[in-house]
Amino acid sequence: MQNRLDEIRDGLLQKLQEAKDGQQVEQLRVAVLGRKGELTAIMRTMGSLKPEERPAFGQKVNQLRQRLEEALDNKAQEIREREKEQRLKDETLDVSIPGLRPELGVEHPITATMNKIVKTFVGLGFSVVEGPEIELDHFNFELMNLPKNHPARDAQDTLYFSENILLRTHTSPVQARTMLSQRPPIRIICPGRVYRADEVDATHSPVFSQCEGLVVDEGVTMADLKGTLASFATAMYGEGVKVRFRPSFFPFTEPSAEVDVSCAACKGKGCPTCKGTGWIEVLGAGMVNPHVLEMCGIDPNRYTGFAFGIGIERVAILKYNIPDMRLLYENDARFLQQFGKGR
Amino acid sequence: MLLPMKWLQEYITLDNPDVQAYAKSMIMAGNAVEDVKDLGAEIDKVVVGRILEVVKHPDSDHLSICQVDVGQEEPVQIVTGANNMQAGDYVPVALDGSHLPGGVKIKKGKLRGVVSNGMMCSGEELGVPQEVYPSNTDHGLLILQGEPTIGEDIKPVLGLDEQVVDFEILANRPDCLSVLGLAYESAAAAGGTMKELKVQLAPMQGDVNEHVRIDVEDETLCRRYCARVVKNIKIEPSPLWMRQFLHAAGVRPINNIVDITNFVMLEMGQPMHAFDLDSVAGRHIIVRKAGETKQLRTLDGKDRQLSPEMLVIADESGATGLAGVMGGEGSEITENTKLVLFESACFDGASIRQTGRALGLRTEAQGRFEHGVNEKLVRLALDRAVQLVQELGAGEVVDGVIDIYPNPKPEELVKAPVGYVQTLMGIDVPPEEMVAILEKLCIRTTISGDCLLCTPPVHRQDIHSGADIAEEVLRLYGYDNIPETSLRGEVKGGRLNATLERNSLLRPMLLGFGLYETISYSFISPKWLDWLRLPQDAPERKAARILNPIGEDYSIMRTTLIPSLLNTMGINYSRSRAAFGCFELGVRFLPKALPLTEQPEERPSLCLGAYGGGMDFYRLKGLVETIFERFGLEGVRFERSSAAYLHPGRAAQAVADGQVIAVLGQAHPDVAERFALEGEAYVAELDLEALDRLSGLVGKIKAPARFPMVQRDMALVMDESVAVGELLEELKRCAGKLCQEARLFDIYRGHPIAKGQKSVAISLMLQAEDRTLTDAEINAIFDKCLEMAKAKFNAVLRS
Repeated sequence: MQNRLDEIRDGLLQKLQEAKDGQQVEQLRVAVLGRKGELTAIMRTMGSLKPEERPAFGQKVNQLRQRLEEALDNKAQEIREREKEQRLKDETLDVSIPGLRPELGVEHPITATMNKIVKTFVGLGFSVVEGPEIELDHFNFELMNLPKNHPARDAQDTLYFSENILLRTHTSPVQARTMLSQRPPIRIICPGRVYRADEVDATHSPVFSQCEGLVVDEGVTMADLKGTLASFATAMYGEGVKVRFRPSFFPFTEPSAEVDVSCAACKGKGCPTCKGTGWIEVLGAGMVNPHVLEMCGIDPNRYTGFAFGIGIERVAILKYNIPDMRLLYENDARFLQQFGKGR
Repeated sequence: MLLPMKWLQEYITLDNPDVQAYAKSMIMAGNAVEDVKDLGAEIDKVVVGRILEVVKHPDSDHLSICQVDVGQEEPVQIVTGANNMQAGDYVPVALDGSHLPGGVKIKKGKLRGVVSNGMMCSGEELGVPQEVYPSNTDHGLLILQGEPTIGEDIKPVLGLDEQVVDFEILANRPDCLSVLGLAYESAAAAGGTMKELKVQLAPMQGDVNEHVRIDVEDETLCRRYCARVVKNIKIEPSPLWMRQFLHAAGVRPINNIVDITNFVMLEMGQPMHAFDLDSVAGRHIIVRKAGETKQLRTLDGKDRQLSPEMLVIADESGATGLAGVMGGEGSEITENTKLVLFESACFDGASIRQTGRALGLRTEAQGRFEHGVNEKLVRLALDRAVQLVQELGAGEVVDGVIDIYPNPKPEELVKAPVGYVQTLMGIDVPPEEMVAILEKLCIRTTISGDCLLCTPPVHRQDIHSGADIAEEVLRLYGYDNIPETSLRGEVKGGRLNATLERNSLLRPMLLGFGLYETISYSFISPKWLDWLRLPQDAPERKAARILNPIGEDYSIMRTTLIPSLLNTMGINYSRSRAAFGCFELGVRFLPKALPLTEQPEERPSLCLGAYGGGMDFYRLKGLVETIFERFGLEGVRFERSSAAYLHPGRAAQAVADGQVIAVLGQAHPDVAERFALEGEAYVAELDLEALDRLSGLVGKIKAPARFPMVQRDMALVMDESVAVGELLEELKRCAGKLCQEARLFDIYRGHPIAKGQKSVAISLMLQAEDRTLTDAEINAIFDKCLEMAKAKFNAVLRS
């Protein structure tokens, strides 16, 4: 009997070793342990044994059965592992083949620039106000200290619909409208499109975008203006960028300043971008002219304020080194898509 | 304003005459410098030479061999092709190794076998025009006048050792449109000591009133009018120094009288005019509005149509000049002029500006009047002009002056509270320091209590308020010294407005759709509306027209963004882009009446455009639907649109709240062709005002159902004319509240479906929140739906 058991065991273990796949393992399982299997058959012969021999024999058979099942399971597991390995190997892809990409749109560089500027000032506590693009002379010029036939109007060649209706030449009328409708403290920015009767060329566009800012409160100073614009410059151009004021003239501010930032390209050392000066002119600013405050119903003896105006295209052109302003309004996808490749 | 540094230094001794240092300090005080030019920068090793001997070249008819003394031990031999020289002449000599303007290098060499050690120069070669140096003939050597020192550098001899600073003068500083004004500014900004300019006339004879009578009829438009008369005029070139100054300042020398008026204009900022008094009818000058006088021939020979409001200088027969803009041809100075009236006046800038604009004229004098001529200096400038007449011997100045100045501006006293000035500046500059700074600018200042009392000098007419005083103090104190401080006061958070808030949700979604953002001009060409096939009475044709557009193609304000997007697509298509999708956020300008009598409505709009890349009507509609869904719009219905610019069978409009909120579809093939597009192009325009108004908040959030969703499919055969959208809506309604969705998944046409019919495959998605649905429930719903489809749409289950 013992011999027969050894035979079965050795026979199975040997065949198991040669098994190639899961099916063969299962066939072996059926052949030995199945209902008609060899070991099952031996178990059935137990009746022919003496009763006192039966427990020991039964125990032996069961031990063997357990051991063979274990061997079968291990082999099956081993084969499954091997097959999985093989499958994974078969599934290997050429990772050098280009991926299938979703089409992604690109924000227009003017919008990207404007949004960054707006975000910066919102972070400094400024709120956004917009206003009409077709404006009245009164708001666009008169309230900005530019009476009719003032020569400074020459600097803002204007497109008219009638004597008093025009395309705004700056977003300043939004400032005027805000001052007329809101008491200080005022802390706003006015982004938007503006228009000039400029011929189209590489550096001029009859349509462009501005973001103006206005602060009116008690005790607002030129130093506050400088500090605010320094924060803006840092946000836009990075840490370490410096701000320089140069005296200038605008009818709606007094004192007025042209504002330069140190050239980010050369860190102020002088390069072609800044024409060797180390500085780049980015905006105009100043303390709101007391006459403007007065016309807008704000007591200039109690309140002071500052205003600034940023040309968005100029900022974008400098930031991205855009060679020709016309590209911004032509909307050639080959131009636009370049702005979708980096921050 | 071109400022020749030598001319400047006639009036000031600069502490540091280095032009670069000078320009820098002027810039930092607010005087923008566009350029610094050295007139002789390109000239090197060119000296004064004297020709000792001229002999013919043995092998040439036109060349001569000259021995020239250039101040060296030995004369140099130079071969020349010129023939206007003779022994004894002084000429500019470019020595071996010298440089001339335009990058020209001169080296010794041989001409027809004869050694030539340099070149004798013409005026042209040195950049000296004939009107500056008249002995400079057209095709010959520049023969120098007088007896300059042989061997000396040529630049000082010809006035080429001049450096010219080009200032961009700010609109509030007309005083700096003059050399004298810039001298005052330089003294304060760059440091220097003013020299006194003595305006003193030699004794004169006669009486001006015997020669001319002057009446100023309009004292508002002519605040001051001064005149003097000069007789026995000798017209000739002005002296070299004056021609050189004028040339360096960018003004062409003409003759002594004209040059004097220009010189004084540049020196003092006062435009001047000289009349031939013999041509003035009745020798009577009247400053008046044109009124009935309709016409005037200006000295450029053009007939000008006058309007009644224009200010003219008239005589007894009519207008003889446009005040402050341009003189008349009739009274122009000619070679035969003997009796001259010099006019120095202050005309109203706004009036001059209107006249100039109306006549399309832009003269130097006009520009100066527009920016403001200093009425206090009118007389001084006139005296300066006749002083120069005397010094130049250009004529006999008649004694006496006419000075009509009925309302002199009182001297201004500006009060500037110290605290206010300090607040504006953001720096607590002590009042005594402010006074010291202001005194540098010739602003007489005293401190009275906590207030500065300031009297600006005569040459500064732009200082009126405390803010002006603050600017003057600050720009000399140094803008660089302004500290950087943070805003104080009540801190409120900054916020976007509703428009930007909406766009910050909308834009990323559109970009995610793969659409490029584009930005176009707000004004368009009227022909684009024709290209859209719009009927004459279409609302889109009611567009505001710009009176002075930069061109017809940019002349009307867009009432729709569709043509802008079609144009953008056309550009990209014609540049070989096979597929392109884009969007633009802008406003439509919707006038209430035309021509505009009030501001139009500016209605925010979103326009989408796409071609290629599998774009079709349903994809476009899907984008529009997704946008509506994202903004929580409910009850949007799509129906056919009759928009003229769309394909009649592929045009839809979205309606909500009884209003069209979007139009979408395939561009009509004729329209596409007009915009250079081939194949199918799709556009949609969404009314963002409606989107804003109808958009809703995210609803009450429910936990996802825990019971399974059941899908039941049906394929229905129906007539082609059935609108599937309606069928889906009806199915969903019919299936009741257990139906989450009636989802279309296929439409089939062709065998075995009969022609004119289609098979539509739909899934009913059924789910209850509280239980698993039973087969009985599901079947009941399914059957009810089939009955409805049969009854309402004559649609039957496909067998």
